[in-house]
Amino acid sequence: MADLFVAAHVENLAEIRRFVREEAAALGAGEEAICDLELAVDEAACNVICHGYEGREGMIQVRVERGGDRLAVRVRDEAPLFDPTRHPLPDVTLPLEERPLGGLGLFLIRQSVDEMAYRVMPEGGNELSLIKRLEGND
Amino acid sequence: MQITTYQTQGRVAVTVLQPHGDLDAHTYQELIATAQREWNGGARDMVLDLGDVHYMSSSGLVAIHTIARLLHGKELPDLEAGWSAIHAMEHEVGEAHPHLKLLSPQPPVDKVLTMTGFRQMFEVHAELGMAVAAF
Repeated sequence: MADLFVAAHVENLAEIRRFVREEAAALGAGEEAICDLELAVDEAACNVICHGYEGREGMIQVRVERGGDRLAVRVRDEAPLFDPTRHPLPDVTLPLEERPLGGLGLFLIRQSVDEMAYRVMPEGGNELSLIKRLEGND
Repeated sequence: MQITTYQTQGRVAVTVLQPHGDLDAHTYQELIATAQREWNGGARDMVLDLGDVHYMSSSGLVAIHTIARLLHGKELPDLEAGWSAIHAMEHEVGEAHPHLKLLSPQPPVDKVLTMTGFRQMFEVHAELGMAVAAF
């Protein structure tokens, strides 16, 4: 199982997406699931870079694991603790102009994966798991 | 990010912006800057050709929204504002933007446009001629 370690810079988002695409494909994900995971991990990493580290130097670790029919992308960082699963879900039944402020990236994550899980790492730091159920010919 | 720009003539002069590559938090401001330069040079109607964009994140949506505001002659929004940027869309939902059309989004990009309601706010065309004729 490979891990990717990259500096928390937006320049590295493409590298994170490439890593997830290659690992997910190797673990049997189909194109649609790969695209969804790419989007979810990009938005998660972008939130860490822009709102977690807020421009400070830091690292992001990414790992892709398969358990049965579930593929999990785990994003770890050492930014201040933040649990995105507790961020309120926008009411998407509202017209666009009435939706609450913030959370566009989190909205896309929730739309793209089946489950999000958060934990504080034993040694400190955040771990966000983005879980996609593989179906059909995935 | 490489961005091709060119002019074409329909009922009005139309500027086509054609980004090549991924539209993410690293690249989206280049697209905004290109649109701003074209606006400063007199462009008032634009087609954003997404045919060579194979990935777009929420940052790309913010770029589209920002260009839409630019073409309405509005102040540019806070690029970190997320939903609030979309919130500020001044025209009515369901009424397509009069000065910005989208062209040829690839399936993953089209999915993001659909999920976030952008397809309600912009005309999306499959051919340049149809997009230009729509102004």
